[in-house]
Amino acid sequence: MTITVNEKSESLEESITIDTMIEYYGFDPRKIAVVLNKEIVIKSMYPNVSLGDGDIIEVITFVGGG
Amino acid sequence: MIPNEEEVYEALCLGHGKKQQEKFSRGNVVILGLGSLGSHIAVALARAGVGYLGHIHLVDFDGVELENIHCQHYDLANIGLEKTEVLKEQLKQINPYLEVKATFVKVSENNLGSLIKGMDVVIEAVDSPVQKSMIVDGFFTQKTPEQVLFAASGYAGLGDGNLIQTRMINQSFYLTGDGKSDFVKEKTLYASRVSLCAAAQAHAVLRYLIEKAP
Repeated sequence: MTITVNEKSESLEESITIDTMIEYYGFDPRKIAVVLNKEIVIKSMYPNVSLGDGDIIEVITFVGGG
Repeated sequence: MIPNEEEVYEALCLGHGKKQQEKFSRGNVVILGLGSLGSHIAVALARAGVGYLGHIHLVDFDGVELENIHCQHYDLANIGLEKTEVLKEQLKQINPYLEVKATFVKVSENNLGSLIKGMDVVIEAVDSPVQKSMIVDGFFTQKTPEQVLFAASGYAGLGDGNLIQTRMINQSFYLTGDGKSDFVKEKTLYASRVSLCAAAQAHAVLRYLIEKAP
């Protein structure tokens, strides 16, 4: 199966959860928002939502301002 | 002498169009954070006459400091005062007939629900990436179907102003900024570039109120 994360496609042998995806890519979960097929996934759902073939994921990493 | 309420409203209708003004006036908007983004956003929304029938709610927990003056909408005379009260007074100078509420509190997971309750529009204008993430998460955990969030990320430094854009992530979430310019790396903020981001955020809110607000 293939998923797309921040516009780059990734082939996976089996489905993974959002939690696992975040760890695999090294995102800091405290500073992000995850958009799965245009819908925001709230943090409490990261361990429960599995990514499937064709899913398009955007991980927004917030940067600071003032 | 200051023009009366009717005269001010007529001038706004003339400047913006009557139908547009009616929609701006009905807006209920909360601004979370009144620093370089939030202070400029509040001024833009007050000039548009948001809050005649609805209101603008200003939320912050800081006082004005000397180090804020170069990039935030405050003056030297405001140093030491609460940003909420100073900005409320500024908005009243622009339009004394607007309903402006000010709450001196740090936005947290515990109070976010009560701060966004009843609002059509929630504006995220805080400085910390962790807090931005928390606000987005809390918003999407607690929002009603009609509520919309306007957030920002990437407006520090002296980069190209044209890189600052507003993206509609989905029907309930707009994100403004260049997505990259991090204050931690850039170490600088410029009133010009920060106001571009603030103006883009405020403008997205006005367009939303015209086109999509219930």
